[in-house]
Amino acid sequence: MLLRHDARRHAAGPGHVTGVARKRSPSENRPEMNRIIMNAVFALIGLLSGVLGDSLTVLRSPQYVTFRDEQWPISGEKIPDLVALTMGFSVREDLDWPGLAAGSLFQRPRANALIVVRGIDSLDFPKNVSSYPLENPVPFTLDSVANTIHTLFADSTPVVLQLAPSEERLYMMGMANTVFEDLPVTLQQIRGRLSQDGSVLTSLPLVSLSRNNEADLLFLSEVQVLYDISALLQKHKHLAKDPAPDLYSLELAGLEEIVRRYGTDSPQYTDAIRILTIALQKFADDVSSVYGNNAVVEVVTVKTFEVPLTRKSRSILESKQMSNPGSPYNLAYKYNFDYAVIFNIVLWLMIVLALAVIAISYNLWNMDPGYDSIIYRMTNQKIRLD
Amino acid sequence: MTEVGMRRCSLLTMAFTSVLLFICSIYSCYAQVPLLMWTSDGSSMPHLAEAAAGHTVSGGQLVSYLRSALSTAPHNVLIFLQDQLSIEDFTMYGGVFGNKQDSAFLNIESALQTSSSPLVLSALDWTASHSVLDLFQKELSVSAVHIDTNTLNEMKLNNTQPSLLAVRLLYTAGSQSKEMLLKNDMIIGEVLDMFKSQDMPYTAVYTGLKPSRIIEDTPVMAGFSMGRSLLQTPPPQSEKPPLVFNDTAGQPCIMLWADTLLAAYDGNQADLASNIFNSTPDTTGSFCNETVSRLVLNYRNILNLQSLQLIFSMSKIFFPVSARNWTVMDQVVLEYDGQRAMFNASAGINTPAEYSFRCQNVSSAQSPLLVPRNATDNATKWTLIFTDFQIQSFSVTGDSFAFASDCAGFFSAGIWMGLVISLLMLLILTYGLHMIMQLRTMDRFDDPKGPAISVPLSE
Repeated sequence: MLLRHDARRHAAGPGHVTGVARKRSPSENRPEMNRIIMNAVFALIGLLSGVLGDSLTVLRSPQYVTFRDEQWPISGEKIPDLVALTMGFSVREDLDWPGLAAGSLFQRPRANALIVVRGIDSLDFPKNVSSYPLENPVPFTLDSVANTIHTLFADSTPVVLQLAPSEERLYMMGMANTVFEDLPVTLQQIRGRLSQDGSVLTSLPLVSLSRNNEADLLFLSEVQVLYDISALLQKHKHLAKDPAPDLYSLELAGLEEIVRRYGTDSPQYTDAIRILTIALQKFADDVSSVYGNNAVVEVVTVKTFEVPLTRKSRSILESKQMSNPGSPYNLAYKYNFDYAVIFNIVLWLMIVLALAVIAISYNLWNMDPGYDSIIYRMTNQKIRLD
Repeated sequence: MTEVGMRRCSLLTMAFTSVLLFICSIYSCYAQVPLLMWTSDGSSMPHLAEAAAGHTVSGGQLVSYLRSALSTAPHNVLIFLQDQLSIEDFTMYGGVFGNKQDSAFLNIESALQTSSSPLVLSALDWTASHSVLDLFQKELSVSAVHIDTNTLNEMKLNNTQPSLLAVRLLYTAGSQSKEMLLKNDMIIGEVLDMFKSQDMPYTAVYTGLKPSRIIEDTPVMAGFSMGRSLLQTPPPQSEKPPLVFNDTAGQPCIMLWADTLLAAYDGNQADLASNIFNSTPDTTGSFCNETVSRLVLNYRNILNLQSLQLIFSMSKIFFPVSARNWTVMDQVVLEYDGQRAMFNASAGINTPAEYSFRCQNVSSAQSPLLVPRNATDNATKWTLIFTDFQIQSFSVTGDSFAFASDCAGFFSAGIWMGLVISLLMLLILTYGLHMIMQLRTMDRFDDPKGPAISVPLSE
């Protein structure tokens, strides 16, 4: 008796702390306990990542484009407006962000390069670059800026390159079609590019990244694209001399795949961050030198894009049968006693109406015009016998 | 004729209103024009901190700045009002990408460079720029003199009193924009040169009456669409979790969910469900096996009682007529301070064993499903009302209920009353219709011209 009482009290303690329903006999292996602990750890990690936040980093900017030295947060949906304002275009709504000064009307950067890195919230760049926290990281595109450049500078030869290698999304305009026609843009082309000479597989120290894993190859493919764009720009230096602004928009998602495959504590993640940081700085240096230090290079680092709503679609997979699919715990639909009353009223009323229709139809069909109507009133119904 | 005239006036007013609304709808939201303001060499304006990009200056801010600027700037004001001007004009034709020889604003740019502290507003509210002329007239207390290049040479300016000269500059959007801007820049250069030759200090303003380029409305991927949304919104999770009792092997075997479990005794009433779903209840004494289940809810210091136990006793019974197992709730027992109140529940609370039982109202008061065991039992002192009661004691898998078998049956007392009365009235109606249908009309009708009706009895 005393032993059982002690066992019961011992079982109540952990149950009360974790909120799980108390069990009769505690066992050493508790998968519910581990799952709850893991949920708490994930919640803490999510909270910390929310505190650290994503960031917008300006790697290069001319001296006439002034990014102020404060930590004003900028919203993710305002980044296309920021790019438009640096290049001298109007925006629809006010950019309520004091980080960018108005600048000069008669001097504008010749190029603007925006690189979106997914899978990490901030990269370690040297301390002389401006960095701002990014809030509300929703997906954005520079389509509005590209349309503006295409509308205003159709006669000139602007270079507009929008590339997302992981999604094979490519948009080129103007001289970009001739300069970057040799640039591999599909995953298979980039994969083939890695095995040629001048590849990053031979020039970069891979340390723990392997050339046999899909996630590693995707990441290295994107680094290869960065190097190829820099090389092609240096080969065609005359593009920077035309009187039209150039726009580059890249989206790199290979780091997100590495996080998903190896986790944030793996040596592959650390080496990938180092390789990407070096590649981004080299890309910024190359673009800035090609354009004579008249280019703006921004890096947006986002851990995960917040997609607020998803499309509801039917699934052909087997799902658990539930009597009330919208209710948690399969709680029943809240019938009450009036349902039976309403149902019976409708049921019997329908029966009565159906019977009435049948009776009326039957009697109409079997009418005797002589007996049941007033027509043929003056006519003899029978042949006169007298 | 008067009506025709009135109709024409009405149509004219309607058309004018439509055009006005159309213009307002186009320009009211996002129209911005740049404004440049500089002084001649040797004069100065108060220095304004550089504004942030993308910030639209309103009319009030412009008024406050001009009031402070005109306190030190020369009062010979030149206003160059162009028909249309946008910041894109400077970007396209200003030689801003290193091609300074192609610039269409050479005179303006050199004037801004020689000025000590020019004012450059990238975005000024369009409605504010429309009244820049009125603003200056109000500030300088003089009326504007509209001049053009022909009357410019013959004009002799007076240095002692302020003057306001307005120069209208033409603009045509399209392929001739650059030529128009070049010509306007030449006009501005001539005017400034004339002032410079006469050694007159001046304050110059260059702005547009409206923007030359409408900002395109390109839909953003994650933008704010005002149409209907086909996307799924996350449902609010506001239901409390059910009470789950696990057996000795750790598997759940009894589940209970209720909106309220009201118990009334001795003039007091309490909701026994208020603290058993959000926290861990005391289910000491509960057990379950293949055929018998017993759920015990223990309470302390409730309803002026030291201890209270609410016990649900359920059993699984095989009925040979339906050839399936049924879950029957035998008793609902209340044990309190050494006494016991027993309710029989097997008459109403039963369900197939694979289902969970659900009822909107499990009560001992009205339409009772809980009946006191006998007339002298302690249960007659209690009133139990369970609302939205759902319980399952066999075939529990996971943390969800099985399909619910609702207690709302097909027939109730009221339904039987209605059916019987309706059938009785239908019977009376049928008898009446039958009587009417038995009537027959005559075979012969009277013919006054013919022979009289003879009724042969033999026929």
